[in-house]
Amino acid sequence: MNRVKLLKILSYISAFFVLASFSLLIGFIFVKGAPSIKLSLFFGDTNPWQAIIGARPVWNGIWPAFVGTLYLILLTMLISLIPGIGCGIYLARYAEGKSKEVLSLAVDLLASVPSIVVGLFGFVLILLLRHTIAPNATTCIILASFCLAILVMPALVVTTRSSIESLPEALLMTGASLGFTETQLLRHILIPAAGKGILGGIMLAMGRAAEDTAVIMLTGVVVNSGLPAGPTAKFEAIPFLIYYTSAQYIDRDDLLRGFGAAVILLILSAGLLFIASRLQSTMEKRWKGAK
Amino acid sequence: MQYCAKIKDLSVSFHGRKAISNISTELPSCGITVLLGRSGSGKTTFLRSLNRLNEIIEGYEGSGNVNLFLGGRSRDIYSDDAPEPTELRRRVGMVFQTPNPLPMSIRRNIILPLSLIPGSKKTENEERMESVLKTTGLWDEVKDRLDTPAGRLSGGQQQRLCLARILALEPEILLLDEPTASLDRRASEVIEKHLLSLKNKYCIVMISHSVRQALKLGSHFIFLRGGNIVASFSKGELPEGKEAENLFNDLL
Ligand SMILES: Nc1ncnc2c1ncn2[C@@H]1O[C@H](COP(=O)(O)OP(=O)(O)OP(=O)(O)O)[C@@H](O)[C@H]1O
Ligand SMILES: [Mg+2]
Repeated sequence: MNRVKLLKILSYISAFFVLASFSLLIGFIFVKGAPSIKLSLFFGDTNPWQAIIGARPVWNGIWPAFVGTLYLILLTMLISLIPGIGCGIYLARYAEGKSKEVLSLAVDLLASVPSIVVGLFGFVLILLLRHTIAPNATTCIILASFCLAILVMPALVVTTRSSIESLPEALLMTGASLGFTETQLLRHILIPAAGKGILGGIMLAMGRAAEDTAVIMLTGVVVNSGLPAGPTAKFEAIPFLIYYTSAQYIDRDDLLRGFGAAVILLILSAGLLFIASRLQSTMEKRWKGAK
Repeated sequence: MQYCAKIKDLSVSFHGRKAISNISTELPSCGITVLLGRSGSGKTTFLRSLNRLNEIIEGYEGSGNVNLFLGGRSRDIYSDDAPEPTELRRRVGMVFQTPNPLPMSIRRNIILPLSLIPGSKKTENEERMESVLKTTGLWDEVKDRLDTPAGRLSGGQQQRLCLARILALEPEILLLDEPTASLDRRASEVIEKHLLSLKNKYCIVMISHSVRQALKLGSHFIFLRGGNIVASFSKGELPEGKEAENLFNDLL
């Protein structure tokens, strides 16, 4: 009886601890950053509309970094989503014996590679390209996205795999007894039923792509490049901007703009998570056919 | 006598443990065949070997022949001549011991498997759904909540939904694993009535844990014990009234 009570108290305390650190962190950043959130934070002295359509460059605002980060996340997801989820499905449903073991080990190892090492890999890759087939190759947004994709892939694989594997066995039996082929079973039952878990992996991956600094620092991020001019162009990104500002700020206002950028980064990732979860719940509703 | 299934030397084991061993028997094509036996005697395994469902279970190993009378001719379902397992499972429909609706709406539970059959049409599927729900006596209970989750139905309603779902696929043989196991007497009687009305349309093989139900529905009886057939009767061979019940109880 006493042990049960103790466990209960402990779990309450733990829950409170998580909530408290969350509120403290978010609260701190918001208090510091919120005042500097205005249009000029984004666009500086440039006319917002002209900045958005790209007619005029933005010199002292975070708009280019905002767009850069958005591109970075989208490109990263574009590159990593299919192989990540596909590999998770392969591990959960098709892989057997030795190849399964080797592949899961590879994924685990990949998950434990620090992001700075992934960044270095991208850097070395460019050096290699310069010495071989592409002498003009240089670090750029597509390279950064590729490296970020490598970084976030394990999260996608692991969550996809475990959410499919943890589905009740009866679901497989039921599907098979109704004459579903393996592909139909996956497409119409297992993947939709595991949708929430897979979404969790996507959120994790997007979050990492949004915040990572180490990888992009070695693969093409710069302080001032304007909007990314194409897949092989240099780019700006909010996490790097925050990092740079915190190290090199000139005055108090500059620092506060850094906090503003942090708030924007939070809002950006929260927004993406929100869109992803809405998408998932719409698809789930369609699948369940529930009104 | 016409047969819907001829089984020869059928053995099934899981992880090296025999579940049924060397079973040979024949199942008549008209009327309901009832399998009886204690828990763990291999009834479910036997049923699953008629639609090759054992094969998806980990650790399965099997041998022997099962000939089913499908599409007007007899076919060895474990040979190359047989339809694909996925098609076979549509033609030899099974309802499980515990109700197993898919985690979706009542409508989708019936429509989804139908819609995956090549060449199926949406309007026909809807019509078929209505007709099977009427056959299982569920239509009036669910017609205005077809788009609510099937999991919200009562146990008995779910069981009838599963029966309806399989009937919608228009199988030739029906395998029913204790279709009334989780039901009270009244609900059981409803299902029993439906089964009797279906018995001329389908070859039905069912498992029952109740001697009384077996005698009421069955026209052929098979007793399993420890993975072997210990006795089988057709209705004509049974003694009258109470004596048949006693005989059955002795065999269990
Ligand atoms: N999915 C499975 N995996 C491993 N072994 C199984 C599985 N299903 C059944 N068996 C084994 O096969 C044997 C027969 O089981 P089966 O389910 O056929 O019995 P049953 O007669 O249907 O029993 P019950 O009346 O309790 O449903 C048992 O020893 C059981 O352990
Ligand atoms: Mg059973």
